[in-house]
Amino acid sequence: MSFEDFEGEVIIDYDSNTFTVERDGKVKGYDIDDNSEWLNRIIDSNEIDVVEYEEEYEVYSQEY
Amino acid sequence: MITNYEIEGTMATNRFLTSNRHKAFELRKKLEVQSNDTSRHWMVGKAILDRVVIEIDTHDKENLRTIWAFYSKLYHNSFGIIKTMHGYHLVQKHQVSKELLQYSRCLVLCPFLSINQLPEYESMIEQFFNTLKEERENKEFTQKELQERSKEIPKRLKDANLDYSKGTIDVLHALIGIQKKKYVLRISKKTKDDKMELIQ
Repeated sequence: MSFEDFEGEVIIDYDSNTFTVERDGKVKGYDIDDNSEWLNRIIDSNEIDVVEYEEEYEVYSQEY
Repeated sequence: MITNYEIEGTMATNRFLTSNRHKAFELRKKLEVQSNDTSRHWMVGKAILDRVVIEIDTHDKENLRTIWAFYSKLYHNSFGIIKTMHGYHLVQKHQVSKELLQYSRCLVLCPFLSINQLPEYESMIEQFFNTLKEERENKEFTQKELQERSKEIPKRLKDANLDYSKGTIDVLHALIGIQKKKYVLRISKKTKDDKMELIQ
């Protein structure tokens, strides 16, 4: 899938680990893990609004 | 936005904070690959900011029943139960008002604490963390020493008259919840077969 090859809103559903994109006039769903590189480019792009949950996550290692 | 920050005093020195779950998992993958230390395992946790979470590190059902009944009555707020690989997460079913959140977190360790005693109790907790922090600043700990030290913290907390919790709970989890004013629930798998199961 090419980076430019979509239009409209990208909706990420972390509960089902999928995201939907509007392409060719239809809304299509994709697996997040299978398309992580592509999705990261969308998220990193300032030009595109990505719908995210307003939540807080931590990445951490155990060290006491 | 991913932010790296250090927890004051004692705990994990590397934590990255983001509001994006996908990015959190991507970062974890990168850190696992980059890390030369194979014993270091990176995890993704979700912050719980609006209610109390109690962690139990054993599957002892009698212990679970005791804790669930005691704290449900104490808070007048029932707890959902999530079974994990090594124990349970008890998560309050209803949100707690902002004004009472920190008091509620402290009640896990000190169930008879009155609201008037909260400032004094928080100050004692802060002092406890400062002591741990000073120890870390004055000595370079090995991984093994750090693990040993973490096992001693619950006893030290009791000796300092800060822990009167019911049953066998993860006291460190409760302590860090007070310090950070939030709980972090691990949502990444430790192993391929690891699964979390909502049982109530």
